[in-house]
Amino acid sequence: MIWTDYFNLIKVLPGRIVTPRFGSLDFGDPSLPVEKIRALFEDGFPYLELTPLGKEALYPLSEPMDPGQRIEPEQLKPAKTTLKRKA
Amino acid sequence: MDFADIGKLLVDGKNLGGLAQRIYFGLWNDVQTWPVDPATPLTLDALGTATGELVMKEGKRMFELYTTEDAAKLDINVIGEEGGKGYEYLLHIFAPGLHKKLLGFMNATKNEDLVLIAQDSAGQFYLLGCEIRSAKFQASDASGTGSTTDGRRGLGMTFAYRTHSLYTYTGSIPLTAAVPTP
Repeated sequence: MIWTDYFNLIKVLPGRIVTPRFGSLDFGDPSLPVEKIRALFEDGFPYLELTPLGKEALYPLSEPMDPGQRIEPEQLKPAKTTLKRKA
Repeated sequence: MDFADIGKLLVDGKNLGGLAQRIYFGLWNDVQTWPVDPATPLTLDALGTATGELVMKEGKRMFELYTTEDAAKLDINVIGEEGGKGYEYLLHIFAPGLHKKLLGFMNATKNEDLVLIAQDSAGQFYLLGCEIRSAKFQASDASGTGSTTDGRRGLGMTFAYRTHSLYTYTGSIPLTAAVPTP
């Protein structure tokens, strides 16, 4: 999964934005780390919104997110993982 | 707002001088919304931090300008009479070379209302410009070809912005154009 599966870039064209926390990021790059994007979203970064998949995977038991809402550690749930069965 | 003791406050001992080698610039009229003064600051920290994001108008963005290391600085001066004091930022930069793009930049900005953002060596950002007042090209220093072969070509520029308060800017800087929100 890539970050664009979980978040939409809004209000700007894909491109570079200087972020206070991580410096310059190119939001046209699909390989940006999901955790970095998630951290920006939780900081209230104004150019990200959750996709339905992002809400399900990253905040499955939370109410709909408002950007900037601080997530307490006990509220975080890991993304669903698929365990491979041994043959 | 409560006063507080103020210690050394160097995070991890870091206090290198100078500016980062990129400054950010745009047209003052291209800004849609500005960061604002802290509404009801309860602490000195809050009183030193602008609130909100710099957001550009549709189709507009901020731009980046390279500046030579150890040739840029941000001066903070107190201005005004007793009872009317404020501050003036003076952003001095040096752009190496005399490329036509730089000459064009000087031509375009010499009488223009601007917004500028500078970053210091501790990573802190400073916004020059606000809703009611722009930053302006003020002077040129050490600009030209130099007179000796061990000199340098380039453009030294000083931008000025006057403000009632000093703030750090903690928002983002969009280097990509704004689009309408669906």
